[in-house]
Amino acid sequence: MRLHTIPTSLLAASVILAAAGCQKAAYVDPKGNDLIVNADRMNVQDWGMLAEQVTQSMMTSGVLERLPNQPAGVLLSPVINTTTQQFDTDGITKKIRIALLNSGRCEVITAAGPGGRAEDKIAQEAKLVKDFQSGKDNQVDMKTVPDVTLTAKLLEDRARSGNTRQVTYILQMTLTNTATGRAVWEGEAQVAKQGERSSVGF
Amino acid sequence: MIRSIPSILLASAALAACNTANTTRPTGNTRADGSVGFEQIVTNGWLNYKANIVSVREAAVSGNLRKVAVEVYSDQLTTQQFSYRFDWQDDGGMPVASPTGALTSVTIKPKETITLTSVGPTPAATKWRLTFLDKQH
Repeated sequence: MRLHTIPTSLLAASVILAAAGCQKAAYVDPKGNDLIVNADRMNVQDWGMLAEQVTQSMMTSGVLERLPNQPAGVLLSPVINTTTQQFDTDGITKKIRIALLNSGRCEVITAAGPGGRAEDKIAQEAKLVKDFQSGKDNQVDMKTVPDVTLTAKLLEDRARSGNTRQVTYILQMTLTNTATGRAVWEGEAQVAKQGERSSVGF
Repeated sequence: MIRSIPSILLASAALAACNTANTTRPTGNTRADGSVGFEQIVTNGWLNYKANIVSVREAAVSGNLRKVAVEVYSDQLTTQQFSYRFDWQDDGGMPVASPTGALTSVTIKPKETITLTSVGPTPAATKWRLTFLDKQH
């Protein structure tokens, strides 16, 4: 009896070890429908959906083509994240920046920023040297002064009914014309997800 | 046994069809009502019932970007879900990448008509293709 149980337990252990050593991993299409969806947190596909909605709204409004300087210089403020999650909001803003640049209507200013804090310090230094060499270092370069600024806020709303939990992410954006100091476009995008209590971590 | 083989084949074909996509692209013709002609490759009949294209319209936005609006109707008596994605191409048919273009899930109510829209990512994006996928199967 004892002689039989030892090989059986060894066999079971080896099967478990073998199974553990064969963890499956696979590439999935980042734009497909095989991605994991969490009802209690933001996923990468939510960033895309929010960015898609606001950029479509901005392009359709025609505000960018009405700006006097073409392409207009734009400076983006960091997204104010008031959700319960901490994540790099560049995941959303970068998509919006790429969309704006691709449209040909805007150029993002990276070598200048508020208080001299440029996003790209190397570009800022290089530009200073080039301005000095060309004798423009004592002049204000209007190309580094934004024609428009973009501010954004990310909010979250949670609701529950019975076992169903719902979370809604809201992205609000404002485009301000710096020549007038007035908002010329505002947009809002929403993504709502629902899940059962057992599957979410509320 | 002989009778069951065709049944199994039919059932497998039906199940396989559930995971296939339906694709739509414009033909380039403009109709009398201003809508754009389109052609569809329907490989999933069930999906086509709940995401049936009624009309396609195109316009220029922001000066030189193409916008497309597709009206979709559900013939079903219950609320349905499906996913869609717009893919853009240039005049030569080469893909134009979009930073925001991803598969989007939508819910459509019984007998409801909704409008799906997309804006070309660059002025070079002049052609588009709309892919429907079934979220439930």
